[in-house]
Amino acid sequence: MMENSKELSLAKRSFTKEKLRNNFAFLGLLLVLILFEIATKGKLLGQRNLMNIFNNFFGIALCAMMYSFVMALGELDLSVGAIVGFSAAMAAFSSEISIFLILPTALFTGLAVGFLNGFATAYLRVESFIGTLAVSFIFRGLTTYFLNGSVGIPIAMRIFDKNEIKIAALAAVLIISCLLYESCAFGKHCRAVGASHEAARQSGVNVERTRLLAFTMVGAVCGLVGFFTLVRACTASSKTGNSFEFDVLLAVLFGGMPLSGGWPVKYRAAMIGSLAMAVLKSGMSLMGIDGLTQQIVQGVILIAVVVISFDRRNAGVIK
Amino acid sequence: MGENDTCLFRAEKICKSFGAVHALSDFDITIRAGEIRGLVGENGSGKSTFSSIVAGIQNCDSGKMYLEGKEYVPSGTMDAVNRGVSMVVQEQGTISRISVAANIFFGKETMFSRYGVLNVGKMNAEAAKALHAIGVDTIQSDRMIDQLTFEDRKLVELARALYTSPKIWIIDETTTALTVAGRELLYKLMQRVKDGGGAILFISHDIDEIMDKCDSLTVLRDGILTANLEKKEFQADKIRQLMIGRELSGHYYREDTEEALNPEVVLEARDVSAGVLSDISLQLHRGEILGVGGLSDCGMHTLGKVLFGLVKPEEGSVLTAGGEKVRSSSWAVDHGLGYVSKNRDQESMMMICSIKDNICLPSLKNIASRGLISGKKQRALADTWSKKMEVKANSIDTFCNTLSGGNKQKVVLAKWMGKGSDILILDCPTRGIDVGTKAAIYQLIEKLKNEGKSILLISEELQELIGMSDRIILLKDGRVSGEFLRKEELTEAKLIQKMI
Ligand SMILES: Nc1ncnc2c1ncn2[C@@H]1O[C@H](COP(=O)(O)OP(=O)(O)OP(=O)(O)O)[C@@H](O)[C@H]1O
Ligand SMILES: [Mg+2]
Repeated sequence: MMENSKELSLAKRSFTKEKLRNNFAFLGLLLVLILFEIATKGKLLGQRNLMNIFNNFFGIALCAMMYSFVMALGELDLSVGAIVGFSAAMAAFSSEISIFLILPTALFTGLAVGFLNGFATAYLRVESFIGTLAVSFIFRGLTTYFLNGSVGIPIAMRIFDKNEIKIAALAAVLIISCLLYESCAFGKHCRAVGASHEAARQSGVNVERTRLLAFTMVGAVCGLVGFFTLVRACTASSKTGNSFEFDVLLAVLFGGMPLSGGWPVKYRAAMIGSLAMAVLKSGMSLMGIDGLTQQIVQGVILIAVVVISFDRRNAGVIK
Repeated sequence: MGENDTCLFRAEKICKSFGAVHALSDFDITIRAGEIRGLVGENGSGKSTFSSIVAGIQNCDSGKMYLEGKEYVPSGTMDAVNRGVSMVVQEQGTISRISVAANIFFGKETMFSRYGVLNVGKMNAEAAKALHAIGVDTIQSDRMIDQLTFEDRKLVELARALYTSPKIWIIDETTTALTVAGRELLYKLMQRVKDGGGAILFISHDIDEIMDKCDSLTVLRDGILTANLEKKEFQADKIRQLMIGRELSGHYYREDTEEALNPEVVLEARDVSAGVLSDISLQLHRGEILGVGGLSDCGMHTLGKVLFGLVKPEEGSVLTAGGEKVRSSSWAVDHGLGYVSKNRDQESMMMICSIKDNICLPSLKNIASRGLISGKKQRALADTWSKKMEVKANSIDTFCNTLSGGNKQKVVLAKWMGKGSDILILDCPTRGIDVGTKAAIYQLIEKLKNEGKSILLISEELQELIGMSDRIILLKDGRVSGEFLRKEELTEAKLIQKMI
């Protein structure tokens, strides 16, 4: 009898712990929300700022949703900011030929750079964080070189910077990526490769193609983000997409995705994390915190999140 | 000699549960100095749990242990080793990406460091000595562990365990991971520890081996002590019955003999050379069980990988029924091949992952309708096959790293049964599986054969090869050295002749 109740309480405790860990992201989001809502005296969730939050959320979430696949593989992509910048620049150039080329160029450029990332990681076997860092340098350099300052597009293109269009784009990417991740072989293959690439290979998963596809998809969606960034500002500059890679990385980690990849990578983490990041960013600007301090805060959060979310199960007992 | 004064180790009322699972309940055992004590039981009966408690890998919930009369509560593996208890684990126990020497002295590096600087040369030399002491001279101590074969890595673990001259040496399911020569070596080392006044706790599923090597035997069932037997009481049937709690019904291996081969060839290797393999040609027919045997380093494990497209042959080619070349493992799976590796933990199974996801992985495309996979279908598939394979777990959502060794193997087999592949390449499929389930697996293989599926059975157990195969091919140093058809008069001795 005694033993039974002890056991029950033990099971209960580990259950709550598990729950806490799983909902860590929710709690974090709530904390960020409350903190800034108080600090900004209610302005955070005011009508005007909600728009601001949505705009922040839009870019990060678009990318983070596709980033789930890369995280599931246990890989990183540090080039997403550079891809956004480069595809915006290419799209801006293409507008000189025809404005109808802007969207296809942005998408195609992003896709091509993503393909490059994937090829380097999957077939040349370069560690993804090294490979994508290198790609990031290359394309940042190229962007600066080609742009030589900044290039504008016709102001009329602003019509694409409408909420209806953005929401439609977000919904489309959400549906596609969520289905792919949760209900298609591809998403499961990504997680299997992250869990054990050898076991995945021996179960018939084409490991290389899976990696290639995941990086290519992130590239393509970055092209889309590049397009929306371009039509919002109507110019592409070498600053476009700056530090975007950290926003996205921080978002998915904040959402609770483990760096080790595999089955614990949950799709909803992308959404929760993006929302938290959007609130964080807009809250900090509302409070008048300058860019430099914002960077410091983000860096600290990055480390804290990685420490807290480290999956101890991986380091569990070896029998 | 009285019984009491030779008692080296005693455990009383050891309990250990994981959530709702009682891995051990009130388990008692007394181990005398100078004996080899066998520990047997079905998969998941708590053998590894008990031995890992003794070795300080995990703590028990309650109970007491005594070593040489004093209370023994190891605070960790290092503490256990220092007090004279070392263990060779069932799973792969070496650490990747470091050298052989670093593995042997893992946790003991301070022995070789001065002012915080590690003297690698000295450590390598000492490791070479440790390997030499157990009679292994073929492994260089400065090599990276990953370059060694699966079997050689196990030898490194033996060297590590014996370096400290343990009083109690625990050997958990290690024989099946060794080569034939490695086994002989292990038996010799066991004898040495025994002669030195130490004791051995020996875990195995091979009843013949247990009866041959052990002085006494403890049988576990579902975490409960069922019997203690002395050598004179050993009887194979009795031990089996005590283990599984019922009589083993039906036959063990196949009973039919001499059958004509179906002329249709489903998988063929033509003049394949890869690694140690040179110039191998073989044909697998429809509905045939083709056994492949030999000494462990003869290349039979590589052969399985070549046939499945995991290792590209340097010369020659592997063809399927349509004359198409096997290009890669994913191509192979799409064309009806399945493969079970000997190295389960690293290659066949995702550990931090549920039973369900492991079983469903190769079948995802089959259960998808219009590209979408429903959770219900996944559960149904996983449920069916984990039940059929009698996987012992709370539910199909249980993570595989918490399963016992044999149950992991069952999950791996279930994965391919669920896929329903036409050609199965099974490398030591019954490794670590208990006698009861083994019989079930043999029956399953026979059923698959009768359904017209073809099986390539790679095995180190000659009994298994003789008992199950329609045809046996023996390899020696990477070449085919003999071929036998299923006949009643086929004996192990005949096979061994061709192997060495
Ligand atoms: N870390 C863990 N978490 C949850 N359950 C566990 C854990 N370790 C072991 N178990 C459970 O405890 C039981 C005993 O497992 P154990 O590994 O001791 O079996 P075993 O006798 O060694 O079997 P085998 O012959 O298959 O190796 C099993 O049911 C297993 O699922
Ligand atoms: Mg075990």
